[in-house]
This record gives sequence, C-alpha cells and structure tokens, in this order.
Amino acid sequence: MATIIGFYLLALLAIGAGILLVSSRNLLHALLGLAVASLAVAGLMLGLRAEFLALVLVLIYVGAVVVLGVFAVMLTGHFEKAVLPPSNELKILGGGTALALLVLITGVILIQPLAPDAVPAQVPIQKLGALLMTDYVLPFELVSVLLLAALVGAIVIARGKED
Amino acid sequence: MTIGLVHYLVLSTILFTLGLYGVFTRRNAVALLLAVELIMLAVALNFTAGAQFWGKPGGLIFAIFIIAVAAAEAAVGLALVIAIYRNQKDVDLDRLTMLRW
Amino acid sequence: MIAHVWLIPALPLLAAILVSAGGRRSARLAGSITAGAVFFSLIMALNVLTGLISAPGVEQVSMVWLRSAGNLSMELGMLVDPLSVIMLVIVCFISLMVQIYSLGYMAGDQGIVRYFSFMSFFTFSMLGLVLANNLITLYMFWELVGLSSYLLIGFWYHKPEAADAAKKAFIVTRFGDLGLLIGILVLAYFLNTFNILEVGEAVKGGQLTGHWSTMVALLIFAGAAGKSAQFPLHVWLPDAMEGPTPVSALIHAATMVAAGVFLVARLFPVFAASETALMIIAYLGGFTALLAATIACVQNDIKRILAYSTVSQLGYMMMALGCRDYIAGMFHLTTHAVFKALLFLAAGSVIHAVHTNDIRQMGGLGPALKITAATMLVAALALGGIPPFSGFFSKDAILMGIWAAGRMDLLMVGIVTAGLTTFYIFRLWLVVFTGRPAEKKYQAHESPWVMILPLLVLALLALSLGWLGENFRHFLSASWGAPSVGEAPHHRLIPMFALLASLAGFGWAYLVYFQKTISAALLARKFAATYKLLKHKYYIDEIYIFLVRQGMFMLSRGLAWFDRYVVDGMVNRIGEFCRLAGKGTRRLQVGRLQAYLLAFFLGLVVIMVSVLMTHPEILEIIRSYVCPATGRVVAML
Repeated sequence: MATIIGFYLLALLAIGAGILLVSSRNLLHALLGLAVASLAVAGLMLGLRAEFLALVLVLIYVGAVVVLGVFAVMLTGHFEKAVLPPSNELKILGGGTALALLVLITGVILIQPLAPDAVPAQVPIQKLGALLMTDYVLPFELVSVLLLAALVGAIVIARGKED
Repeated sequence: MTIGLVHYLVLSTILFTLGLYGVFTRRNAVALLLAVELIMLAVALNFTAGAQFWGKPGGLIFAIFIIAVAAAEAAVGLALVIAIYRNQKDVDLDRLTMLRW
Repeated sequence: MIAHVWLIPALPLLAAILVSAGGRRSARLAGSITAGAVFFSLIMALNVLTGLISAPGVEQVSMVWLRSAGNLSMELGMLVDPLSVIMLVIVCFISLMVQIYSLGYMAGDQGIVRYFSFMSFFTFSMLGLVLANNLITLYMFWELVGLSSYLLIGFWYHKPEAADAAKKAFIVTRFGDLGLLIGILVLAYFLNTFNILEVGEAVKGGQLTGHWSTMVALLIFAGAAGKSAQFPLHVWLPDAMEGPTPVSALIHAATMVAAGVFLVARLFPVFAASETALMIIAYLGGFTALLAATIACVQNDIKRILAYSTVSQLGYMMMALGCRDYIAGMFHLTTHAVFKALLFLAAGSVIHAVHTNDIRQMGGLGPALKITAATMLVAALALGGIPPFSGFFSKDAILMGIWAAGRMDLLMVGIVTAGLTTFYIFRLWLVVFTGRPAEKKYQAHESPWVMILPLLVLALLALSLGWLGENFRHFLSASWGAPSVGEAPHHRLIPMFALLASLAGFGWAYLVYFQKTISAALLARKFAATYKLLKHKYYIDEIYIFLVRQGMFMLSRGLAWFDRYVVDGMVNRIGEFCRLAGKGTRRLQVGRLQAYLLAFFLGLVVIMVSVLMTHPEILEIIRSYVCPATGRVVAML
C-alpha cells in the first residue's frame, strides 16, 4: 500500500513539476520545476530498486544540468527580471499535438497491457560495471567520445572568436 | 492493485508529452532546452522501468547512456544559446528567424 | 617481288616522318631526303613494272585487319596489277620531278621543312591509294590524299585566299566523298565484302542489279567527280592554285585529280554493270570538258588557265571511261600527267622569273627564258594534240573510243574541245613568250638548273610517250577488271578532224595574239555577253553562294526560330513555372524550428492514426515485439 501511495505521490509531484517547467513565465521557476521533476523521478527509480541510477540522476540532473541552466539564465540576462515572454501562437496546435500523442501512446499501452514477468530487484553495481566493460563496451566508448566532443564543442561555441 | 510496468509507462508518456509541449511553445531558448531535458528524463524513467520489470539490466545501461547524452546535450545546447545571445543580444526564438527565405 | 611492294609507299612516309622530326635543323636536307626516298620508290616501282611486263598478272597480298560479326572483314592489303603499277610509276616519277624542281623553287621559304614533309606525305597517301586492294583502305587513303591536298593548298596559310581555297577544296570534295562512302557501304551491304577483287567477281556474277547498281555506280562516281573536279564539283580546283606551283603540278594536275579517273578504272566492273551510270559519266565528262575549255579561253591568271585545262582534260578521260574505253582513258591520264605537270612547272618557272600570275603583265619572255619557253612549247603541242607529241595519240584514242561506242554527239564535243584546247594553250604561250614586253620591266632570268632539269626530262617524255600507244594498250589490258578489248577501234577520218580542229584553234590564237590581225579587245566587245559569262566562269560560284545563302541560311533561320521560341520556349516556361512554384511555396519556410518540429510530430500523429485505423493488427505486432513471452525484447536488450 505504501508503495502505491508513494508512486502516486511521486508521479503527481513529477507531473506537477513538469507543468511548472513548461508553463512558468519565470525562468528560475522553470529550473526549479526541472530540479523537482528530477528528484521525483529519482524517487521513482528508488521504488524500482534502481538505486544506482537514482543516484546518477540526482547527480547529473540536479547537480549538473540545473546548475548549467542557472548559468545560462545568468549569462542571458534573465536573472534580475526573470520573466519570460508568453508562449508563442503554437500553443493550441502544439498542445493539441502533444495531447494527441499522449492519447495515442497511452491507448496503445492500455489496450494490450503488458504483464511484467519479474518483480523489480536490485541489480548489483558490480554487474552493471561488468556489463559496461563487456557486452556494452562499444556504446560505452562511443559515449565517452560523445562526451569529449560535447566538451570541446561547448567550449569552442561558448567562447566565441578571440577579438 | 499493484503498481506495474503500465503505470510507469503511462507516467513517462505524460512527462514526455509535457516536454514536447514545452518544446513547441516556449519562446525562450533556455526554457526550451529545459523542456528537452524533461523529455530525456521521461525516457530514462521508461528504460529503467522496463529493465527492472523484465529483469534485464541492459535497460539500466541504456538509461545511463541517456543521462550521459542529456548532460552532453545540455552543455552544447547552453553553449549555443550563449553564442546566439552574444551575437543577437536576444534568445527569443520568434525573432531568431535566420532560416527564413 | 610483290612482297616488297609495301616499301614503295613506306619510304615516302618514313621520309616525311624523318623530315618533320628533324624540325628546322633539317631545312637544308629536307628536300634531298624526301626526293631521295621517292627516287628509291621509283626504282622499285620500275622494277615491279618490268616484272609485270615480262609476266603479266594480278597479284594481291592481304591480311585481315578487323573482323566484324558475320563474314565481313576489313583487310589491309595491296593489289598489284598493270593498272596500279602504271599509277605507281606515274606518281613516283612526277613526285620525284616535282620535288627536284621544288629544291629550286621553294629555296629560302620559311616553311620548307613543312613543305617537303607534306609533299612526301602526299606521295605516301597517293601510293597507298593506288595500291589499295579493298574499299576501306582505299577510302582511308582517299581521305589522306584529300588532307594532304588541303594542307598543301593552304601552305601559305597566312594568305587569306590560300586558307579559303584550302577550305573550299576540302569542303567541296567532301560532298563527293560522302557519296563515295555511302556507295562503299551499300556495296558491302549487298555483296558482303570490301575486297575489290571479290566485289568485281560478285558484280560480274550479277549480285547487284537494276537500280541498285546504277545508284552504287553513281555514288562512287560522286567521289570520283569531287576529286577529279568534274562538274558540278569542279569549283575548288581553280581556287586550289593558291598553293605553291609545284604543288599544283603534282597534286592538282598529275596525280590526285587523276585519282577520280583511277577510281572509276579500278572499280570498272561496278560501273560496267550499269549502262545508265556509264552514260551519265560520259555526258557529264563531255559537258565538263567543254565547259572548262570555254572558261579557260578568257582567263588571265596563268595557273587558272592551266587549272581549267586540267578540269577539261579530266572530263575527257571521264568521257572515255563512260564510253567503256578504259584503256584510252588511262592512256590519256598518263600522257596528261606528264605534259600537264610540265606545263605547271614551266609556268612556275615563269612565275619565278617575273613574280606575277597575270599573263597580261608578261610578254616577250621567250628570249630570256629560252629553255622554259621551249619545254612549255613541247607541252603545249602535246596538250593541243599536234602530232607527233603524246597528247595527239591519247586524245585520238579517246575520240576513237567514243566513236566506237557510237556517241556522235560526244564525238563532236570532243573535237570542239580539242580546238578550244589548242586555242587557249597557244593564247597562253604566245602572250607570255612572244610580242613586246609589258610596260613593267623585269629582270627576267632563267631558273636554276634544279628547276630546268625536270623540265627537260618531262619534255622528253611529253614528246615520246605517245609512241608507246600499242604497247600500253597491250600491257594494260592484262589489268584486273579491264573490259575485254579486241583491236583498237580505228577510223581514218577522226584524227583528221581532230587535227583540223586543233590547227584551227592554233591558227585563231596565232592571228589574234601573234599577228594581232584580229583584236582581242574588239572580240571581247563584240561578244560582250558571252565574254562576261565566260569571264565569270558561268557564275557557278555565284550560284552556289546564292544557293547556300538563300537555301541553307533560310532553312537555318527557320530552324533557329524554332529552336529559340519552341524548344527554348518550352524550357523557359518550365523554368518560370518552377520559379513561381518556389516563390509560392517558400512562404512555408517560416524559419522557425519549433514550427518545423511541430509539423514533424503532427505528421507522426497523422501517420499513427491512419495506420491504427486501417491496420489494427499492428497492435498485435507491437505486442509480440515488446512482450517478454516472445523473448525478442530480451534478445534486443
């Protein structure tokens, strides 16, 4: 019972934070929404017994992405008067499309419920590490290259031309 | 009634479409990037749920990769926003129409 | 013997390559090298000739060059028979004489290396042509001869007239060559061979009949008419006189222009198969002979007179061939080659002395140029058909052949032409060498010995060659494809008539241009219309230009209009349509990425809805993919 209540609480929290994220006219509030949504999802992952992933999520989303976002807000001058312009005229069309997608995907999921054949169980970190170094070593290396490229690219783009 | 895979999938779908709506409608580039992060978050949750309910740790690995890609995307995206801001003194996407004819 | 025949054309080719490879350094030696090469060719040709005289026959060496599907193959080969050997000797001999002469005539010219290598190359091409044993090689050499002619006419390419004349010669003969090529291909289509001997056998065997044989014969004759400057393709030859005079002597008097006559003789069985074709050749030849002779009577350029004379004499030969008198035609070709080359070389000697081509500016040159005058007189007598000079015998042979063929109208044409010929050639000789010198004072002097020597040799032959008549007939009748001939036709009165006509022509020229009892100017005034017509060469050039301008250019203008407004118009309309369409649709490109992305997802929604509506079973497939029961997702992760 506790798990059910916990799931719905965290789910509502995540959805509420997400709504805040996409609709707030204040950029800092939106950032806060992202942070709360990340924490809620991390909580859900804990419920799924994926503790390592929850930790990583908190570290990267709350620790890195949100902080980056704060920097961006600061550098683009929205810090003092952090008020965003209202949404563009695609509000209705975009909302309709998103809603249609939601209905379609949920419909597909609900029409043919997929029965899980295992209850969530903790996966030891050792096993994840072993998998990363064996079966998934190629994607792992590719991700490292991607991160390096992103690092270099971010520096080059953000620094601009030397005058 | 227990919480099954379906609940997680529906939740992640809701978060995904919320993020999509944000991407469609936000006029501020930073806010748009944050909406993209929300999409990534939904996908990571989706993968984790699948992996845990089916007992296949490969899904966890992909969730890790997605988080890494999200971090990289955030870094590059925000760098782009800063670069655009420096050039145009503006990050309002309705006014950034260099691609127009 | 025949195994070494290939050396005869090969030597001049080698010399040409050698001389041009030497570049400017070989300027001194160029003439000696090419003349030496052709000298050895001549020796070998004479060797072959004596061999054939002692053992007459037809020999052929050949190798397959290209084999096409079916049994049609192209060969490289040589055909040695009396006809080709006689041509070999003529070509080598005239070429040798002209090249020796050129040593003097062309001395000091800037392009002397080019000159001699072209000359040698021409000799090679011509020798290859007369030796060809199949139609493809023949056609190749035919074109090479045309090319060398083009190069040599335009030798002084910095003169616009020479360049234009070279182009004119090339283009006009091209009309005929096209006919020749089509004729060869039609022949090969029907007879399935290119080999001349096989073609002859097949035609004799009746494999080509009716209209086709006439058509093929006329197509091939078109090539012959182009090269041999027969009406209506004769217009290039007088203009070709812009080339150096020795070139005119070799190519445009003795050898290349005779190639057309040779071609008709070589393929005589093809022509013999069609009476209509022969008749057309005979009448066209006769018409050309008369036409050119009349034009020659009023021209003032010494080389043009000789050029029209050449056209006229070639018409004579064609007339003989058209009357089936193959041997008389070839005999006249031989004698004509000698005396016409002599005439040109002598004219060159005169030009060398006085530096002008206009006979009105010459006069009284006889005392200064004794040997030239004497040798030219010999040639003039030979051309005029005065016994015992060679032209008399060959011309009589032709007239006799025409008489034997029963064409009295052509016989009349022949006799009248003979009279006109004597008239214009003595007009030339008398104006140039007798009378008072024209107002201009020259330091006229005799040419150097290298130029005089060929004149003397040629004069000797021009005098004596006619005496070989009976031997020539006997020898040549062993040629392949020669029509079977019995006794030479003989008629006692015909030579008398011809001689009378010649003497009348001579007398008239004597009275007008030596005694001056009849004023040339007065005659010109009295027959002003005729004079003008002849002076302008019957306006044939003007008619051609008119036809080209009015006919072709009109057509071109029409086609250009069609191209511009219909073809281009269509293209332009399409282009405008695309432009307008782009102008309209570019409004869709609002430049906002969010709108693009929204459109993308909208499309996704539409696709998903339509797929789910029309194929509900897709759900089952998705389930089978994602359901762990199937194990596929497990495998994927």
